[in-house]
Amino acid sequence: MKLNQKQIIRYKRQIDLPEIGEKGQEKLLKARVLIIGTGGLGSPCSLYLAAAGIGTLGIVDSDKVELGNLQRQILHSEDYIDLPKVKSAKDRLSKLNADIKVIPYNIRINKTNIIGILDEYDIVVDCSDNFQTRYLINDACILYGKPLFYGAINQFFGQVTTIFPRESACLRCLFLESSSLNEKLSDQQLGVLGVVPGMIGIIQASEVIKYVLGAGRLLNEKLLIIDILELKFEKLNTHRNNHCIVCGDNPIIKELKDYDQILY
Amino acid sequence: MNIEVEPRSYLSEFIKDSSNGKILKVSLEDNAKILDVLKIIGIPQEKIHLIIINNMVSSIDSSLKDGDKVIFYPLLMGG
Repeated sequence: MKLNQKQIIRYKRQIDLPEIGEKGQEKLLKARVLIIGTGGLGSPCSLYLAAAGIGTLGIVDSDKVELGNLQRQILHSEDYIDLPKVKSAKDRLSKLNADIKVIPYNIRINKTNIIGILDEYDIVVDCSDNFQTRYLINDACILYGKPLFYGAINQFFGQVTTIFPRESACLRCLFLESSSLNEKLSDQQLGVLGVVPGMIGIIQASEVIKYVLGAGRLLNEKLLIIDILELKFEKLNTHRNNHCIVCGDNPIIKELKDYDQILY
Repeated sequence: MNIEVEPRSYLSEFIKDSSNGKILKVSLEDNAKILDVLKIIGIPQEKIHLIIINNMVSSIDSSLKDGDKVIFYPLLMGG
């Protein structure tokens, strides 16, 4: 794939970087990235990946745009309220960059439909907002060997990591599976400042771009935690757990389940 | 041994006396584990989703030593 004149002009400022160049831009245009969730994380992540020229972007969401989303979900706008988020996302991303292909999936993923979708992509970005979906994505990426770019937020806090299946720590290696997963949180506990998913979603996008280019240092074996209130950024060390039930040496999970609860 | 414990996000609601800030100084028996820490500071285990000891993501069974800095996070899964 050779870049055309319009592409050379559009992507010039990043092609000028020695880490990218025309070869790197060609890699970005060839990349197939699946973004699950087009909310607070998926908005900035998809906008920057589209702008950077990721050639094929799959976007998954079953929700409709609501007024209460717009405080942080900057992909959407008032004229799309009550319309599917993936329609809003496709229209916006295609307007931003007609050079790329945006494929919408207006579905809630489950153990059956995720496999066929995953098969079409090289890279998965978890921008979802609930633990059932997150653990399903994690397990599917481990079982099917797809690199996973994970981000999560709440209040003023954000967490982001990059998971290389069976090499670096997965969700089940990092987090305790406790009964609080089914706990109902208060409105105060669920509050979020819009810039927090903005920052985490952009870090997810930069991780994807660097992975495609093979440039720089990634967040595998690291968990980056941010605290916007205290303006703290902490890069923590992580390691794959040999006893992990999905990515360990003797895994218990060998096929996907729908996770109403994830305790084993 | 003596360690420092920082319950983050809404786990700080469990700190009854915050006059010394959000970091608690906790004294423990020499072979104490994370569960012992939780008992002393009064946070139920099921509220904990992420354990960090000295900048390393750790598990509920991790050992502790004098001077350790422990951070707890609750469930954080919003998007």
